[in-house]
Amino acid sequence: MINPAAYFDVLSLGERISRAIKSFSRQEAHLLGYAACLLSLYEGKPVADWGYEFVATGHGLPFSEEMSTSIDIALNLQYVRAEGTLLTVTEDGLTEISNLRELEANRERDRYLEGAADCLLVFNPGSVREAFSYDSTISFLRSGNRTEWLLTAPIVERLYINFEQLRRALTYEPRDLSVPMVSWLKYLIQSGRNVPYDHTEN
Amino acid sequence: MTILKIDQDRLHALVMSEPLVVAGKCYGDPGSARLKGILRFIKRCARHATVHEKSDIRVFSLMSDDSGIDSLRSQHATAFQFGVTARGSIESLVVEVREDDSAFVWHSVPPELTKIIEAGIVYRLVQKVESFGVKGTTVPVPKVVEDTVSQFWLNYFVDLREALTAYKDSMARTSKCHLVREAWADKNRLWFVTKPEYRLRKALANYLYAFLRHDEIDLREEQNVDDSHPVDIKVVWRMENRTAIIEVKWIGKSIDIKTRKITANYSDARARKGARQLAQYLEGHKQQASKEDTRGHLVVFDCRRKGLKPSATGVDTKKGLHFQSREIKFNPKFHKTRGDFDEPIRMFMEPVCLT
Repeated sequence: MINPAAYFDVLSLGERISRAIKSFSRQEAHLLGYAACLLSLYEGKPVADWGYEFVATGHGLPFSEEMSTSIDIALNLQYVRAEGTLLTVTEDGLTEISNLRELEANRERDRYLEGAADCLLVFNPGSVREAFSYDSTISFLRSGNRTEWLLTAPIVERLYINFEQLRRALTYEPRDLSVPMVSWLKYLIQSGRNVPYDHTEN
Repeated sequence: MTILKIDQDRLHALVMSEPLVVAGKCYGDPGSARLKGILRFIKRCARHATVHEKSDIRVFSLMSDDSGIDSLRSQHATAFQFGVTARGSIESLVVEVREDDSAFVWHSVPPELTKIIEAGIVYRLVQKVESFGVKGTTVPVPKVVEDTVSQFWLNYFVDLREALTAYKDSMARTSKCHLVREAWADKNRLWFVTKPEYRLRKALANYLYAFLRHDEIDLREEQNVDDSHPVDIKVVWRMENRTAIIEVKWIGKSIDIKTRKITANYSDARARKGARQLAQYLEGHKQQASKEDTRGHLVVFDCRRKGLKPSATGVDTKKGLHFQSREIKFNPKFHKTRGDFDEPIRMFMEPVCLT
């Protein structure tokens, strides 16, 4: 069964990723869907409001069954098609996403998706993957080669605290959510690689 | 379960030096929007053009309204056409990105404009160093993808062999990557350190991880085909039920630089042994996963120098590059006899030649 939120996210992210770096992969859609969900938490929304859930796979990446189904549906409807070894949103898909973006329910959601997808202006997809691989929950599950739910209650509580610290560090409230997302990913990469935090000294 | 504990000092320092944040703090949301406009321009331009170590690039957004600019623009700039104005390798480029994301290439920058540019947001790439200037404050761009000329002008590969060839030409040949540099025992790149395998493999895996784009790809180091035969890198294309196994070998000499004792001396026979091992791995893998399309790639890092004695500290061009174009003769030629064995890639690593 189609999950409207996941369906919208897949098309919107597909279009945004393609615009930033040409075409998109399933993995990138799941990764940035998860990033968008984190941005909703950053703004203090309950995780249940997101509309679907993510698991961390044994490969150490976020994955949503609802997004996966939505990609298949979009492929069947020819809103998305394979282009070489990646995927691309078709002309019909662009019309569909343009219509869906008009819906009130999707407007706020699209801000989170935009904030997540625009981190590809700063990072390449490999670096986004790397950043999330340092996320303590994902790396914990990967070390055991386990697939489990991400964003369970204790993890979400801790993320609220982490994001409050991020918000304080920013000292201003950017409307553009790529600002906290880029900062968060850089933090994960730097701390994951254990890079000295004053990069000007590198 | 471990939960991320924030290092507040690190987070604070990082946020303070993030160009998007600096632009946002300085100009509010329009500041970060204009900086993203610059990044969007770069990403789009990078589809048709590349940068190199000597590229000198400035991309700016003016943050003040000045009616005089229009007149200067009409005299010194023309509309930027993607795929036309800048194609191939860029030597020098000055581009203005306006609020509506339209771009203009400036053929010369009049002195009266320089101050106005500096007061806005400017991206610079000079001698592999990238920075943003925001209202006169320079914010350096740290290298997330290490050893690349730029963090933003990146090209991706969808084909593994293309990625391996690019790695050979752009990284391995001149040892650009810091991990590969650490594999050398001396600054003239005559000898590897003892057991350089980890660094060579890690460097290659990092590169593939950053630059290989494909639907549903997974890349891991040191996977086991069976208990006794580890392979170095495994790439899995899950949607296509396709797997690549990359076996990494090196040939040449390693040395304990303090004692000047040669710790390993591998000739091209080692590459042939690697080919045989890989063929065995592939056969083993075929037994376990007969329906999986598995392909083997042998990568040979070649640091051979002619007539190198343990006391040597330098080498001339003739001896240093003696093996540069001498391909390894494989026998048997598994890449000819096996459909799942790709042609081996030898990555000759140039020394610093003294004469």
